Amino acid sequence: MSHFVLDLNKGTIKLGTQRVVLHCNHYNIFLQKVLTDSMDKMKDIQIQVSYELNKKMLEELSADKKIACELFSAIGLGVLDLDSLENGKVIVSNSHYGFVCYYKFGVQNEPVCFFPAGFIAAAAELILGRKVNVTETQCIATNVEENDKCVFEVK
Amino acid sequence: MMDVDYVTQEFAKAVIENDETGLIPAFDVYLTKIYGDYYARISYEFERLLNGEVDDDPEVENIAKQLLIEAGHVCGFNTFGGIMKSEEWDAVVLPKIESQEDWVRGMVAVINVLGWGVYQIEELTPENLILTIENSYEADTFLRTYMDMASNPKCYAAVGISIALMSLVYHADISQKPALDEILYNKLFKDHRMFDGQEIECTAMGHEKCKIRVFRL
Repeated sequence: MSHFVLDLNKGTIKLGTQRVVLHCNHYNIFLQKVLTDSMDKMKDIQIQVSYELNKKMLEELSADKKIACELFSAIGLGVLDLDSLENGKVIVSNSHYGFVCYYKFGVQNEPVCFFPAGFIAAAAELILGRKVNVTETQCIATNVEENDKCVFEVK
Repeated sequence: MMDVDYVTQEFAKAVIENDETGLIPAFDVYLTKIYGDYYARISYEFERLLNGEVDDDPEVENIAKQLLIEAGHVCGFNTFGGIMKSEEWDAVVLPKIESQEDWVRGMVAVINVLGWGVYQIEELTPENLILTIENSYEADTFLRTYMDMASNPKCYAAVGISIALMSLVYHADISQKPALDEILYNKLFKDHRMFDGQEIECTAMGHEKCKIRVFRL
């Protein structure tokens, strides 16, 4: 997906109408952990904000399954598998958030893929044509030795 | 004198894309291209909620801000440190370096390909850095999201990374390519901290540009 446009005069990188920024795994997971450890409700807020922004982007791209999966990887989040979406299951391999959380902070008590959860909710809503609830039921960060993928239930 | 435009142009040519794993490995970190609105909105919601839980307690307000600035330390330490130790830096920037200040100038030139806005150095000595930012993504998001002027500066990540930059160059001596580990991080930002900083102007408050000052303690 080569739709990212760098404008050096403005200091922006645009994907469609939305501005993206380059940040590293350390910042991503430190920010997420600080917010979530400080306030429980920040988990849902991160998922909701991700859902809103990704819905807007996926609508702009007139995304189908293929485009949604391409966008997911182009953002740097891992590999998204929507093949079983209609059966209520979505799989992420090499989850950026899952891996970096485990390697920086060790085994986690709960799943940590909040931005991907919001992305999946947005993609599923557009593809299925209805609102969905997304729950991460398996996460690399909770058991990296047994869980080589992150799994999301979509209802 | 460092040709910053040349450095920016050369780094703009770098291919920063996902590989077959769906990840973006670069400069010894994994990058993402996530919406600037995402980072800024979750940060401001956190600040708003935390401040709302206590009645105008300045200590609590300061906690939210300091945590968000510390996230910027983590970003700058790892991303800038990785860039300044990279082969790309050695090829493009190192031949142009004539002074320790050129390390700062070169890194600011590279920042301008990250999509964070246009960073420019207004003043630079080993004790002080004043950076201006046009189109800061943090201030930009604040204004569009809240449709109102901020009463305080809002570029928390920018403050953190600016402190990290001066710390890496003048405290860690990144030219010696030290290991970017927890020991060094604690030395720079905790135990033997040498620099602090603040945002002194912000477009979210109505100023023309954002302006950050980093100073030696």
